[in-house]
Amino acid sequence: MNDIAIIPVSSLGGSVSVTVAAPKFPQAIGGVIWRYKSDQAPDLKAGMFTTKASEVPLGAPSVVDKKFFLVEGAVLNHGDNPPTPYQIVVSITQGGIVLHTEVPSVNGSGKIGTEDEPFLYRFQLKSV
Amino acid sequence: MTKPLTLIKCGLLLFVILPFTVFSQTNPEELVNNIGYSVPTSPAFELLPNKPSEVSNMVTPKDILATVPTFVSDGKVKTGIAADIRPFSYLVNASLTDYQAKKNRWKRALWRTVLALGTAPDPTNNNDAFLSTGLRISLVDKGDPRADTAYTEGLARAYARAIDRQGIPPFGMKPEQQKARHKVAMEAADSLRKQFSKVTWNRFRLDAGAAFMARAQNSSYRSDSLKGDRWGGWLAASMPLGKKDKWLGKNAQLNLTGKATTIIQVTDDKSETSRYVAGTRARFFVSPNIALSVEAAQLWSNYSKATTLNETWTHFAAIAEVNIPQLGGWLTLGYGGDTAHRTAADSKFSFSYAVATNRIIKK
Repeated sequence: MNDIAIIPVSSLGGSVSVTVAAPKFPQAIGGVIWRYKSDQAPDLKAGMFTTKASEVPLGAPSVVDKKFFLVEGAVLNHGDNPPTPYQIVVSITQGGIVLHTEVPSVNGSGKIGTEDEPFLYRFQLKSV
Repeated sequence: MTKPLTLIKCGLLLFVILPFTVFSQTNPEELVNNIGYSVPTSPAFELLPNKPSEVSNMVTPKDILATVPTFVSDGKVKTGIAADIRPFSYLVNASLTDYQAKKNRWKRALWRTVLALGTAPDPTNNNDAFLSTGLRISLVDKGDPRADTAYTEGLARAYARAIDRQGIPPFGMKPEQQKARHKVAMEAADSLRKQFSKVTWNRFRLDAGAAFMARAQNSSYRSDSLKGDRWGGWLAASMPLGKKDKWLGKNAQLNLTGKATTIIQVTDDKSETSRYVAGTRARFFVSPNIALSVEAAQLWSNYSKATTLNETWTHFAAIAEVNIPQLGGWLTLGYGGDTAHRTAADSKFSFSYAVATNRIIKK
């Protein structure tokens, strides 16, 4: 598991949020963002995301420092035949400024037909 | 509510009486499949002499690069190859919210458009190959699940909640564990999908299709070896027979269709040069166990080089099907056929029946 993005956040900046979206293709997405302690032990649910409610607040820099996060979601199928393309974009923002944007490496892009396509994205926030 | 016992009695009575009546050899399934009331899924394949058994889906640029070369081999058109693509999926460049915006109806139509390509050998001259291409456009689709904000948001919430209910997974969750959790969440979303299709199955739709087929002489794809062979055009609309909250609005559907096929390369003076079809069908799903279908169509077959051969006829079919578990499935009664015409002078309307495991009239 070496696909963990480490994202520095300013200790003096505003609160941190994560946005999970599919901006390029009209696909529905949904899932949960989980929070883990600095030793990767399970902590709590940070929030749920859907197509309309794509932003999940993670908290102040002091709260999220050294914490790990897992985005567990799926692109939801509409029975497309032939299949259609999809691409998921995860953005980490602080005080409304985008710090990091990435397409999840685990199934973050591809094609969707008659089965939902799950994706995962792991990251750690470090206050600097 | 129909009493099941009365239905069973009627079914058994018919089953006893039917063999003593004069019936046609055509079974009800053939009767209703004679005329298609929707635009074919891939119009290109309708013109080919044999429909391809396997179709490659070109979704990503990588798929296109891998599929296109399969259509040719040693400078010739390879037969039995078929592929389809949504040609505007990358050009539409819209999120789901953009797609759902009222003003973006053209973006929705473009996204739904499918282009298909297919090849087949000419059964009368094996050296030649047919190359067919066609487009299917769903101009209006009031039952498009993607366009329904409440539904897509409900689907996303159902999935997210089902993931949430399973609790926090280990940070380094293994793919098998992710797969198992995903399966549970997918089932939660599926139940919503079933509900949606039950409600929207007969919403208004307007589809169009066009296809063109060329003959590749000696299977060569050089432009001077490609000759236009035929083209086809389809237009179909379907709608509920009443308002959404009324019985007919929920359980009945009306279809209207128009088709045209023109043969460009006529083999001899007595060959058909064009055919036109206009038809309508109404279907009623009375209960989960009873369905009715009534259809009528007019067909015109033209011979431009020998107009005396032109012919026109009417197709009619009325079908009733009842689920009778005691008979092991569905009892279907049909009445209809084609009116007599030059190439089928014996045609007439007649009764037919069948008992089958699977139903014929489907939503």
